[in-house]
Formats: sequence, C-alpha cells, structure tokens
Amino acid sequence: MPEKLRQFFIQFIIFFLAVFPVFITGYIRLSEIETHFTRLVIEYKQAGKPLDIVLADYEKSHRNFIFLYGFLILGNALLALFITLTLNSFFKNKRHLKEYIAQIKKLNEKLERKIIEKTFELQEKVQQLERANKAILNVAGDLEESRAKEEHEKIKIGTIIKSIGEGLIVMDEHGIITMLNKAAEELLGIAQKELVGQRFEDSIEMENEKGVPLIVGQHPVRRVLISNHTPAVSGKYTLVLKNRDKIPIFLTAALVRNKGTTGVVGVFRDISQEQVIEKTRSEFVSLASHQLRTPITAVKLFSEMLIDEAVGPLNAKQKQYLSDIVISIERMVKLIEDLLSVSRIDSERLKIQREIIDIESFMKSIVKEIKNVADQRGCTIDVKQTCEEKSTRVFIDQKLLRQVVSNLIMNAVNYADKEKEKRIIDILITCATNSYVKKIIPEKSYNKILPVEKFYVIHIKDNGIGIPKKDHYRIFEKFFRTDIAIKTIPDGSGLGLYIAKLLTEAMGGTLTFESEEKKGSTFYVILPMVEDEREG
Amino acid sequence: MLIEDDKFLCRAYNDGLDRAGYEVVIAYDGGEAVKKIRDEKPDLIILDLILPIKNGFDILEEIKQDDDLKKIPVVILSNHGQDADIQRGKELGALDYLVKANFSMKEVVDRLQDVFARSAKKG
Repeated sequence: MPEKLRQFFIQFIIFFLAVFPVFITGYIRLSEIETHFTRLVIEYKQAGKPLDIVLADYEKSHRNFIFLYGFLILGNALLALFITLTLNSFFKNKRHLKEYIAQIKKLNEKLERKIIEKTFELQEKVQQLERANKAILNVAGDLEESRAKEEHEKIKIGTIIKSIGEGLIVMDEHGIITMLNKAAEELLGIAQKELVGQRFEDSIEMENEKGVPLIVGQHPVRRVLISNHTPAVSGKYTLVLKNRDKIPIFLTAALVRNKGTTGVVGVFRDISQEQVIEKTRSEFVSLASHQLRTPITAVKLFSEMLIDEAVGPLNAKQKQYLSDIVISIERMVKLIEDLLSVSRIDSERLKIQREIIDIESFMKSIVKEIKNVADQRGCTIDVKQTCEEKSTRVFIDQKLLRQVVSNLIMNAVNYADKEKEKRIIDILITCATNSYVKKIIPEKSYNKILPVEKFYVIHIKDNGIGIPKKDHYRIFEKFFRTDIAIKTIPDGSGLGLYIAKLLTEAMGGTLTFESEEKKGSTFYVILPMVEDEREG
Repeated sequence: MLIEDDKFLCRAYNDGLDRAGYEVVIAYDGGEAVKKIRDEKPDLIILDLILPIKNGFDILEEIKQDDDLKKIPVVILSNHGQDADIQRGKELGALDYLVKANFSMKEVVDRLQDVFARSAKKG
C-alpha cells in the first residue's frame, strides 16, 4: 500500500478514535439533557410551575454542554493533532531514515565500487612490487652469496690468524699497531685494545738476543720502514714483558705494500723451547766430546810410544801402520776440538775478552806461526796495511781473532793453486765506513754487525781452487765442504768457516767472501772499531 | 804421584814416565788421593780434574791448605780445556795445565821437566 495512503489512513483512524467517542458521548449527553429537560418541562407544565427556571437551567446545561464538549473535542482534536504530528514526524523520520538508508546504500555501493577499483589498482601495484621484489631478491641473492663468500674468507683468515701459533702484529706505515692476533696477546700478556693505536717501538719493550736494549736504529720495524730495499728483517730478539720476564723470540718484520698503502707485518714466536733443545744438544755434544777425548788420548799415547820403539823394535811396515794410526788420531782430536768449539759457540758460552792489540803486528805474528807449513807447501804470504786511521789498534779478543785468521790463512794455503807462481796469499788490512761495509755484505748480516761508524777489513786473498757459485750460499754451513775441497784435502771437518763466521759475529763483526771457481777466493774479516771503554 | 781414574791412561803415563826415569805412584780416585799424598810425599803431583769421590780442584785446595803438602808442585793434566778451568787451576796454585789430548808423551815429559826446573829455582 503506498506510503502516503497508509499514513493518511492511520491519521484518519487516529482522528476518528480521538473525536468519535467524544461525539458519541456528546450525543448521548445531549440526548440525556434533552430528555431530562423535556421531562422537566412536561413536569413543570403539568405542575403549572414557571418554566423560567427550567429554561434557564436548560440553557445553562446547553451552555455547559457546549463548553465541555467543545472543550473535549478541541482537546481531543489537539491530542489527535499532536499524535498525528508526532506520527507524521515519525513517519517523516522513517521516510528520511529510509531515504538515508537508501542514500547510504547508494554510497555504500559507490564505496564498494571504489574499493574494488582501488583494490584492483593495489593488486596491480602489488604485482609490480612483487616483480621488483623478485628482482631485488635476485640481486640480494647474489650479493648475499658474495657477502657470504667474503664472510667465509674473513672467517677463514680470521681463524688462520687466530690459530697461528705465532704472534702476529699488523702496523701501518708509521709503525703504529692496528691489529694483533690472539697468540700475540698471549705471548705479550697485553690485551689487543691496549696496544692498538700505539707505536710498536714505544709500547713493546725489546732487547737484542744478548739482552742489550736496542738502539733506535736497530729496531726491526724501524729498519724495515726506513729501508728502501729491505723487504724483511728477521732475527732473534728478547721480549721484555710488563712483569719484567724476558722471553727469547724470533721476529720477522716484513713490509707489505697494497695499492699504495704500506704497512708492516710482524710475526714472532717464542723460541725458549727451541733454545732449550739447542742447549741440550750443545751440552750433549760437549759432554760426548769430552768423554771421547779420554780413550782417544789413550790410543794416541800408546801408539806414539809404539812408534818411538820404546817397547821394542818395529819393522818398516809396522811403523807405517802406526804412523797412519797416529795421523788418524790427530784428525779425530782436531774434529773433537772443532765440535767442542761449535758447541761452545752455539750455547754462547763464549766469553769475549777484549784487549788492545795492533792488527798489523798481530797478523804478522800469525803468519810467522804458519810460515813453516806455508813454506812446506811452497806458499808465500804477504801482509800489507792501507788504513788511513792513524793507528791500527783494535780492541778485540785476541784468541778468537787468532782462531779466525789462522783458519782462513790455512784454508788459503791448503787450497792454493797447483802452480808454484800462483801460490801467493795476499793479506791486506784496510779501514771502511759503515755504509761501505753494508755494500759488500749480504743484507741478512746487517743486524749482526755492531752499528759503529768504522770497521777494519782484513782481506785474505788466494788464487786457488775457488768456490763454485752454486755452493756460495752454503759455504758457511756446518760440515759443508765443496766437492773440489774434499778432493784437495780429504780429511777436513767442514767446520772451519762455520766457526770462523760465528766467532767474527760474536765480536760484533762479520765474515764475507768473493770467489770464482778455479780462480781463487778473497775472504773479508770485518771487525768493528770499538773504543776501549776502560780508557778514560 | 799420578792421580788419574782411567786405567788405560794410567798405564800409558806410568810406562812413559817410568821410561823417562821417574818413579810413579798412582791414586785412582779422589778419596785415596790426599791420603796417599800424605803417605808418599811425592816430588810432583800430576792431577786429573774429573775424578770419582772428589774432583781435582777440591784435592788441589786441600793440598794447598796443608802446610806439609802445599810446597809440592802440581801439574793439572785433564781433558777439559776451557779457559775457565785453566784459570781456576792456576789460581788454585797449579804450576801448569796440560790438555791430555793435545800432548804426546814426549811433550808431557818435557813440560814436567820444565815444572821441576821452575820449582827447583823457587827452592
């Protein structure tokens, strides 16, 4: 049923309900009044009473009736109106509500459409993003792979560095520490963070292997940094810990260049264990050598007494054999002497007792001693001196120098050329500066010589068998002899040059040589000019 | 008096010195050494350093502290040749120090004669 009709119908009902009862009751009342008054009139007429009062009452009643019912009707009508208005308003609201709802529905639909649109857009965007994401993921995947690889490398190197038993210290081009590994921390007893940013030379106390504090120029890190052509310096040093314990170490400092940046990498290890082993070995050699001497002496003494025919005559052959025995014994004795020397040098039980000697006369006296043997072999030895220093007095250990020089001169005599005219040995004493010396000695010997300004150089030159180039690097090795040397002198020990080199180094100098196979050799004994501290 | 623990060396030196005209008495270890010196009062003591019971240096010290014995010249004949040992021996009063392995019998005898001559001069 159409809305408006329904509304009208309802309004009609309400009016009807409000007003109809009043009409009914009004009609009834009016009827009552009429009836009443009609009766009255009749009564009065019958009674012959005056009708005035009745008529007055009748009019009064009518008036009252009109007022009352008029009022009631009005009231009800107003009520009906009120109700109607309320209903109208209600209906209006309902209608408005319906309209609103319809509007809202419409809006809703619009929104939904919009949402669908937007959702669609979003989906498209999401798809785009997903595609982009995939692309990024791919790149990220690659990056991740190479990052993982790098990380792996880093871990690998880190693990290697960590687990290297040797201490590792990395420094920049100023010698400032940038990194330590764990072994270094443990060996030094200092945490990494305390050392990073400090200079190595200032923060870690080091002495040379003999326990003498390093002079500034001797520090391996500094030497590597200031040198143009020394890529690495290595050697034995002593580490002084914070608690004043001293640990012997072997340190290598190497210069590292990488795309313009320079740094130094120091690797070091505790060699106390090695030193103990060395010492034990040395002591063993020493003990064994001593023990060997006793039976050898017995053999020697008895053989000599036999040869002297002290206990009976001998035939020629017997004398010959005994003579060979004695020679062999002498060789054994010499070998033991050399072994003992070596073991003493190795274990550094060598005490250097310096005194002032004049080198020229010293050399001449040695030559005099060897003169007999030299003459026997037809060699001539010539001693010259061309040092500009006013005096050729050296502050040196005579005994040790004697051992060195005798050894070298004997070598020159032993390995001299076969032709008589060439059996000349030239001995020359000169002076040299520190820089000149560094030019003629190999770099690894730099840290072995005393850092003084001037040196004596004793040249011992022969024209003999020489040393083949392939053997040059081994010539100072223990027991090493070149093939031609063995042929020339079958019973050498191979210890002579080893001992000579160590003794010169023990005196703060060094031993070097030049040689050409079959042409001859020149050996250079380099000794530092040291002041006698005892004087003034 | 020869104080030496190696039996072979003892025989060698004994024979050699005997042939050179000396009378030789031998002590084989540090324990009997001082007693034998007291008993025999030798003209010269040839002393080894490495000995059982008591070593050569200790024996030398003991002898030099004994008024009766300190005048006897002592020559050390040992196979230890280190400078430190030689110095110590001479400080303790040995008149000479010979390294056994380096000396033949003849040379040993010559050196002993030198020592005799020197100590005779001292009177």
